[in-house]
Amino acid sequence: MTQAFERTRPLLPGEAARRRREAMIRVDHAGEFGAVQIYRGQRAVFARADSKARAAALVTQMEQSEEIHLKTFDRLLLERGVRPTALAPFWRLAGFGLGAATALLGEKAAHACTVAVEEVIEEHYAAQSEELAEGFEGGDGELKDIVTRFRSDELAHRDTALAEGAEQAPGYALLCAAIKFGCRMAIRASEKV
Amino acid sequence: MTQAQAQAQELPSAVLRRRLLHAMLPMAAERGWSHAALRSAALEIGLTEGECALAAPRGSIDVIDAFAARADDSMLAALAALEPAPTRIRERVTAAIWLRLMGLDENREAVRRSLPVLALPQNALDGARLGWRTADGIWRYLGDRSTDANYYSKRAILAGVHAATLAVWLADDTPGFARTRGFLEARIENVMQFEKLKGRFRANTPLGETLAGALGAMRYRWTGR
Repeated sequence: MTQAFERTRPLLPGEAARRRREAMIRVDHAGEFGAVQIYRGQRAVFARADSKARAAALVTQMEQSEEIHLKTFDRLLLERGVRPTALAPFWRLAGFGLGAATALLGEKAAHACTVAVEEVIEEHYAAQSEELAEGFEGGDGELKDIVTRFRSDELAHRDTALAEGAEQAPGYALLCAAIKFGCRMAIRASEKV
Repeated sequence: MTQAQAQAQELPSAVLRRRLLHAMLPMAAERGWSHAALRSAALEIGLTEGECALAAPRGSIDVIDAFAARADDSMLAALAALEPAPTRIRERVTAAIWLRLMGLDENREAVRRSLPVLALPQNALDGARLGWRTADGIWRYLGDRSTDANYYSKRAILAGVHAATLAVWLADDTPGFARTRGFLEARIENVMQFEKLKGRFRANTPLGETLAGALGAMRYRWTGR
């Protein structure tokens, strides 16, 4: 909770690091929230297509894994009194839309979307894990463990999607680049807002 | 109270500001939260100009900030001491706002006099921020667990109810503030009706999922690719 005089005085020791950590938790929470919405969109499309039972099962599995991640960050937000992103309603729409649209393009396009999203999240977690290393100002063992663990989950999702033939999707490179660009913008927005 | 707040309260500036607030309240009730009142209060408790600037760098508005923070703290303390403790969420929210107003009873004039200061253009954001902080404190105390848009709508709605009830209370001359009590309960009732309506909408299958499912069924009807 900021107070009026905070704007006119210099930061206390450790305060800049604390704010940075709060922004990290906020953006991670927003990212997992968005990921759940993407898989929800894909599942909604595949759920009623008889020939896509396998794809439906796969994305349901990934959605459940992202749900667990989301619950972890829900807990962190509450425990540490961090405000969530104000953009949640927007990510709900955008995530669901992206998931549904790629799933309608084709099963392989849906997996290409997974590859793009998970790669961006994986890079993001890798960078955070480095920043949170103990011994530096702003080191945070609990958060570091969480993002390191989640990073390997996201990598597993990417590998699953690759094994399903994501790269054979029509226009794979373009699709991937566009989705990655969107995800990076979303990360920057959710850190602040 | 968050760790940061606890830390901020132990700052020398926070200690000075509390003393300044204590000395300034009776003056503010009589003469308003003017710069002159701030100077007199600082003189009375023997603060130098530098200490006064440290305690309230932006002048009276910082002391008003501390006044609101103190009212929030006493409200939460009174809420915790309530016997018997209300169980339903609407009763607890009603009690929170009611206790905050009752805690301000002996400083009603000072509260009234703070409104014109908060209405100044340069302080417009502070008024909103103080209201938000009060609502935020209540929801955190009540253990609200929302982490999506509800986080924001709950605080916004409660801040609105609080501001409106405060205005009614300032003009209320009925015994026991019966009019304020009635107004507060009616506003909380409005919020509950709105929430019920929202719940009814959400109970149905989301439109997006139905639509995506229909499109998916069509898309994959003849081709598996």
